[in-house]
Amino acid sequence: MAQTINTAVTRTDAPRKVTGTATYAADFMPAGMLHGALATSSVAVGTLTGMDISKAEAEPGVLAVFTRETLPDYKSVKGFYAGGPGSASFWPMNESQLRSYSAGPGSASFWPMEDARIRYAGQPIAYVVAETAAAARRGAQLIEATYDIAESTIAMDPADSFVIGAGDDSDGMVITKGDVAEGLSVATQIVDSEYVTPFQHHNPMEMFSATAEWRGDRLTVWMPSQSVKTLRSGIAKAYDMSETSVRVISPFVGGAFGSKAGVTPYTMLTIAAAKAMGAPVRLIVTRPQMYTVATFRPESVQRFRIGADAAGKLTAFEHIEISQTSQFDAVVNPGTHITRAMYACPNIHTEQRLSRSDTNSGGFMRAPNEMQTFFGLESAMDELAIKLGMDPVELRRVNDTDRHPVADVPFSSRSLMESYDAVADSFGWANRTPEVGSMTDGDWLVGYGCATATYPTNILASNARVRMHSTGEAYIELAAHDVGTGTYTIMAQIAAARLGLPVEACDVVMGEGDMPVAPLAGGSTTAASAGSAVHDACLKIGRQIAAQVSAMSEGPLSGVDPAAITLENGVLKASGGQSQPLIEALASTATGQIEVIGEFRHKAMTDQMIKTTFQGGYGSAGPVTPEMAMFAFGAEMVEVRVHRWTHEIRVPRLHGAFAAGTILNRKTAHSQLMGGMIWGIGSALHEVTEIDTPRARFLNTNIAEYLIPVNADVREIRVEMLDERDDYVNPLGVKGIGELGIVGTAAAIANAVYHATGKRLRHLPIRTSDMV
Amino acid sequence: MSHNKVPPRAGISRRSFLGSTGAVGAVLGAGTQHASAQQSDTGVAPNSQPKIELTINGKRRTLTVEPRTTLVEALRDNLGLTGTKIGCNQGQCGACTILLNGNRVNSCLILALSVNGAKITTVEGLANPDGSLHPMQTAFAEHDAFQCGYCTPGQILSAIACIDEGHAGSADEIREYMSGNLCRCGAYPNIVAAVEAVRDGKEG
Repeated sequence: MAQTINTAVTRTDAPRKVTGTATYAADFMPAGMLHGALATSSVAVGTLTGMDISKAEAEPGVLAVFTRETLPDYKSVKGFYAGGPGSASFWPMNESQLRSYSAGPGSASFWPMEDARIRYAGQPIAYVVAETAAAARRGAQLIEATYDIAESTIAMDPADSFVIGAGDDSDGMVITKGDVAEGLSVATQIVDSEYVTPFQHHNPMEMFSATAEWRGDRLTVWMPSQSVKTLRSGIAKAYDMSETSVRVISPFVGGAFGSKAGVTPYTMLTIAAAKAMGAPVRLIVTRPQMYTVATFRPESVQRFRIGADAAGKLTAFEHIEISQTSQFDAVVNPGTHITRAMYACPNIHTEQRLSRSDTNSGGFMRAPNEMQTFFGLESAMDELAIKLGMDPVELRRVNDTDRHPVADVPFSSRSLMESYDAVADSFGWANRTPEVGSMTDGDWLVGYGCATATYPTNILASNARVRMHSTGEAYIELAAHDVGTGTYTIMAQIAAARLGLPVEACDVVMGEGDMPVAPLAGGSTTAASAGSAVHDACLKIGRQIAAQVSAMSEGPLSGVDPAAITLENGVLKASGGQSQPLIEALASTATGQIEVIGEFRHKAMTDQMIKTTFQGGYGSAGPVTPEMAMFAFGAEMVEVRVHRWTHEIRVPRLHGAFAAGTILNRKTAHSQLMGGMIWGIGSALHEVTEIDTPRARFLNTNIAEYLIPVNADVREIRVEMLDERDDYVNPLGVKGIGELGIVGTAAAIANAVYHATGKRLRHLPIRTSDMV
Repeated sequence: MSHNKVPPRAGISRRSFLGSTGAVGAVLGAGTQHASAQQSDTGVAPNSQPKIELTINGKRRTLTVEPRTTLVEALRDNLGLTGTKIGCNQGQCGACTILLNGNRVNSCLILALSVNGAKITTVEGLANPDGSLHPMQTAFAEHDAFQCGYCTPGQILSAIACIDEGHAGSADEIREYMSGNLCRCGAYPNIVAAVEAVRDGKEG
């Protein structure tokens, strides 16, 4: 059987996606389905004093208008984002830290329509059910609400910030190693700069939706989800139902990027409305409403003080990140945990701070800890290289390290400089002349910039069921998710490689809550964690079949010690040289088929982490274990052109080289890394959720005025994937690539803009107006 | 500080927003030259339920629609043709692109009633009856011209029209004429490669 791992296999779900037969949540329409629509608050903070629903009720097609007084059996899922208060975090916390959070990161401790309080603009205030989607939306528009309006502010005040879990309980939110003041005092050059990043919204192409159908005491929910386990367990807990009474179905997800990981008020409103109507109800959230009924990337300020000696070696490293959170949740995306892992330095101080303002709660958006912090860090490193008169690549080389600078454990693998060398070759970095403005092409000012990419390797417990038939098919079933990541394909590849079957004979079924547990599709974790469970299931099949055939009275492996038999590419091989194809051995058994549950558990996983994951939470053993630091690395180089007269900014070339352990599928991995880099172009030059300060609301709440890259914005993107072996992270050696590509891109572009124009932009996005 | 105030509407509807805040409305108005589905809902009293006839993917279909029903919602909700996707419902993203009498259009910006008698091609109508794919479908699969696949039906129909219109002469031209179809996963370079392959007869 041909090797299927690390090859360019076309997606197994491609035929469904190009024919319109891939079924996304809103494509399921149970018989008798009605349509829901949300009415949302037009003020940010205050009290709802009244609501006139008479016009909405009179609208033809409208069947019901539910307010908080009239919607029966509406449940909240407070503090439950992914498994319970605090347990959704990317880092372990103790009890007092849990208490210091109002709820888990990303969770909602405040739930709309439970009382008359309005705490953010766009908060759901009523739910309309109608015979058609148009009638429901029109009904929602006809609701007239009155408010007592209180003062509100949408922009955070960085001067008014706090640390959660302060003191000894800060759990890495504040760390000090050595003495930064001492390190600065011996530095030859110091960079002391602040970098500002804006609110951003995920804007997946698929709009948020939820469809609920009750049949007696059983409930089915169709909803695009990055975590069907989280969704099912949150709903079941809210209604005090057994988890098996709740079916959650999400086979295809039209992009998520962190926006579809939770249980949301609109989900619970739809479930309650379906119950009240005695009929299935589907809600499709409007594009403008998507800005306030789920999460976003909070705005942030990144403060860096970095000192270096004349040779470029860092003597001091200080990073203080202040990011926005709502008035009622403490949403932390701990970027300082990542920046302090990057470069060797004896004196390090980092602080993770929050500042509150009147919004819905933020959450995770692609590279939630990394995008904004690496815009800061890698811009600061560029500024330092210029002050030192060094090539920016050489500054990274001088400070490269094979040990985590704070945790003082080795990296399980780290190919940062190999990535720089590879991308420098493909890009032609040697052609760069260092002087600002020295590279021009007619009226175009040309600049080259570079930056480091990294992403932590999160590993979570996972199970997977694999059933193999002697007729040559395998069925792989697990509660994992394909949010465009190629998961269907790579799971089939792993099984095909181990069992010795063609990829197309391995049928993968995913995206339902009652399947074997697999982790939340976030933090670039699915390939490494769920993939390792599929791998384990296949090896178990090999062991169980080996035990059966070795006990038979005849056959090539009869009488062989089963412990001496291994499964290699679909063949059972004994240490004595005897062998038998697995499929043949399977055919000789009584049933002719076998079904096992594979498990991925890593020695660094504590029981608490495993339990958290199995409850629908995020119990990652990474990126730093007691033995190792696990990160993927990469380097990006970009050519930017700024027009001398029109000041337009163009990105004709963006190259990246990445080392992330084993690459399972070179085609889909290439797409993920390329997509990440295009997201990086968006962050650098396009994306910002504008704020209306007097009214404390998001302003450009649509996908034409919230700019994302379009086809014409993207020119040459080159992606190189380096061979890298990592035996520590998991049995597959996979480190995860879903978010790596976006990290560093914005800094590389800002650095190239400086090289072209001499303008140092310390905010995102960088716009034509900044060039004037 | 606290005072009573009655805003014009409970929901942030575009029309009420534009109507009540002139200065900001002028800024937002830049992208609103077309009627959106949200707007088309407004102020229509669907007392009558007219019957229309469409030829969809070569098959004649008759259906009863409210006057305010958009073409995309007629296709999806009335006829169950869910291959066509809704990405914004206001003509900004191109996910709902179909061919209307051979031309690519955003089906969320068109009232079903207004195209009575039209010939419509959706993604469901591209493959041959024997199941073999249209060359553009094959090219999208081979070139990995998508990730999540949600914008893909619209991209494929737009790409077919892009070549038919004669707007696929160069990579630059394809990028320009495919820019009405957003792809949040960032598959753009692969989409351009797929269109070039079909243009050059390298697929199917």
